[in-house]
Amino acid sequence: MSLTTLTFGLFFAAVFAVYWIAPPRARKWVLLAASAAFYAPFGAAALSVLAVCALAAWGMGLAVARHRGSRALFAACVAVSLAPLALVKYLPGMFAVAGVSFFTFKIVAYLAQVRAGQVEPERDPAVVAVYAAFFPQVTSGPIQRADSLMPQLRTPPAFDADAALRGAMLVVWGVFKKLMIADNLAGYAADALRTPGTMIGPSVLLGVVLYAVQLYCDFSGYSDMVIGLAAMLGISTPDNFRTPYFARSIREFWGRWHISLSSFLRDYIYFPLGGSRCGAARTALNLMATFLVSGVWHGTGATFLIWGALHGLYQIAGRFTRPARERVRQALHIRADSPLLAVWQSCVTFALVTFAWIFFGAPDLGGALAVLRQIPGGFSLSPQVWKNAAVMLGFDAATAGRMALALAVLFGAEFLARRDGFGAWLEKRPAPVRYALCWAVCAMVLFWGAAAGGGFVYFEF
Amino acid sequence: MKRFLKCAAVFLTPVALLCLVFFAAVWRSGELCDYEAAAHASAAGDVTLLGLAYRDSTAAFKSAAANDVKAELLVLGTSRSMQLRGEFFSTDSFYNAGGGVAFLSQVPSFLESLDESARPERLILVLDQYFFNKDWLTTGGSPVIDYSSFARPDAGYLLHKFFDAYSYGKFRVLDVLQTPAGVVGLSASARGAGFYPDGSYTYGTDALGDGLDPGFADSIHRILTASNRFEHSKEVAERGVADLRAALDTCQDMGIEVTAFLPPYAPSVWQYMQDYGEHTYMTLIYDEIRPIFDEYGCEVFDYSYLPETSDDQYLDGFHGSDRVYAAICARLAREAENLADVLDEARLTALFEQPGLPKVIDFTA
Repeated sequence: MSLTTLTFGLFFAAVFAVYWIAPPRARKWVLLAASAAFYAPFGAAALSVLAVCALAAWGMGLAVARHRGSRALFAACVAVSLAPLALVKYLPGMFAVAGVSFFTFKIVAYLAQVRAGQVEPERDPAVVAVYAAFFPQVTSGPIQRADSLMPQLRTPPAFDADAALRGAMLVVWGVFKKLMIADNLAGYAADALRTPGTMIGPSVLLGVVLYAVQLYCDFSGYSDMVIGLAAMLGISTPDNFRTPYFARSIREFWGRWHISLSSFLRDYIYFPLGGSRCGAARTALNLMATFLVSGVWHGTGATFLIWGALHGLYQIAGRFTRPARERVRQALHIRADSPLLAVWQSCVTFALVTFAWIFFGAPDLGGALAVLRQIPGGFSLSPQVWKNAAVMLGFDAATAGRMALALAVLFGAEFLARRDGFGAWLEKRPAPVRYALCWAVCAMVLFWGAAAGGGFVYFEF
Repeated sequence: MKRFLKCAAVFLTPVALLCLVFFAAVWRSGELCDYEAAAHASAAGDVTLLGLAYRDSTAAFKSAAANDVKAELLVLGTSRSMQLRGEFFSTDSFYNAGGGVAFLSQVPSFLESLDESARPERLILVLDQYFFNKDWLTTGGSPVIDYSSFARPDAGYLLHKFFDAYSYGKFRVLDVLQTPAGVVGLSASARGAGFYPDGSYTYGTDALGDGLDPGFADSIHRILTASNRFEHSKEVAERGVADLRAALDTCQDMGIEVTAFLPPYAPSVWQYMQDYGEHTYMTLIYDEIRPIFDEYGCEVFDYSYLPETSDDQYLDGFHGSDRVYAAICARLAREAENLADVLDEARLTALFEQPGLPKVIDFTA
């Protein structure tokens, strides 16, 4: 069930009530039952795969801990953990297993942390099962590490009203991002990416930019909901997005976008390959390999590979041109903390990221190239041209006004919260401001939002 | 926990109240009604205006109602037949089943969905011109309709649509909460649009102003892009002719006398198509089908262009208002032998020429 439906709302209300009424030692069983009930509609086959993976993770954790020195055993356990992911993605006719990309990575992270001695192997299979199948996270992450999540499952924290309220506000914010912005933009962006030939260049460019916003709101909105729901159950989850479109470099972007995945790839692909501790050529190779893996994780088509390779190239170019760019800045007497420099860097970063999103969102390579061919056509800075571009994309005055207001609220709040994170920032505001903002976004969702129940983009991975 | 629940209650209470008010509007509007029951109630006259905004089972509705009414004179066609009002005819045994078919090929199945006792003696069949357009025929596929299947309401979806409609100023909550008895559906409640008990359709407040397509911009766009019932063609489609024969065969087998006509376009839209030159099939249809109607002993008339009507009497480029259909009936009174006994040309001409708004006839005057 989708997190934005009334059905899920009622489901979570029931889980919340039972969870907090139950004694602490029984809460992991409440979560296990809730996770099973949440996942069951995906089918008995998928549920079985998840259950088997969770049980195998428990056994493999104990085995890896007993034989920490055995690289072969660890490698075999990782291979077994990733087998369902490989089969689902590459075996023709294989049934879908929701969230396989996420829970397999969680299990690999658990095994790696056990081997490194960062966590003790969990002897309670129920804790491992909840770790792997925790219902808010199971379909689309975040990929929370074992050392962060398991202790909270083993010894559930007491109810914290502040954390729960912060979580509830984050859920409202996530719903706003998903239903008001992401789902409303989806149609316009899809037209530009799938049928660019029917539009003028500015329409296609506008559609691509809207796709970048849609993707961010869809995924970060989902993450906000997940983190908020977990917080209402007393479970703390690290941030998964930190205003990534304000990043001033691609490197910073990846420290702010899908943080749980980028940190996983950093810790378990990039660092084991040698990271940046080797020479320049090897560092470049390590960066490219890491981002190619990221591309393949997101999808099996050539476009995802190109998307990953582009980010690898960006990282390599950014790293090796940094000294030169720094010399240019100094030569131009621009202060490092200059706001204009920050704006320039953020714009360039956004442009690079959005260019790569073309490959991420296009149906195939031909489609991506068609988008790129169409963008320059009819380009102009004339406001009338851009107005026509918006109309051609399907906007009318009312819809454009609504979306402009929603985006102003989104980016305004996120700019103000760029250092603390939205939940922590909102918590510091006076109560009337908190209520007013939550009511305002709630009203926008009710009156202007898309119908609930739409799929999440990252659910497809 | 108490503080959390108190804060949650403070936040959720106004939200819940707002949802409750709108849900009350959803319920009061009748959008949650049992569509099949409403269809029967409409046919019985208990529902004076049935206009659901978010469910469309018109074919099933018209079949059920036609079965109840058992009219001697039945109208059948697409939305371009729905304006034929019972008030135009001097018989009480009348029902407009317009909207019951979307394709000519569906006429036999619609008639077969009627009980034997409900089959009409006379049928007015409205033949949309694009029934004979090869390109248009390939777009829809003429789906098979289950005349017993009525769309079910989805409360959550309706609540969302009500919020959306309200945000566009399409209705006022207080007005909907005071929906009078006998009026069912948001379109009926908010716009006065829907189906009367005789099966004919009123456009409500849309008929009071510039209509649905001011300046016929959408129709012109369709002409230029060859889309959505304005596909280009220079010849009459054989499949359309075959569908016509099948329909007439069914009527003959059932002993139904058929009077048919090609419905009108707004004069300027018709002229535009003639000047554009890509829809010449329309001028060939009548000569192609007239011999077929003669074969079956039935009548057909070409009312594609009615020079006595004016653009402001049309809802859009191809849907005439009440006045246009009064003009059509006046012509039928003059030309259709099979309907001479139920049509009064003088009265219909008076209705057509009645002073007042161009798209509206006051039948009580």
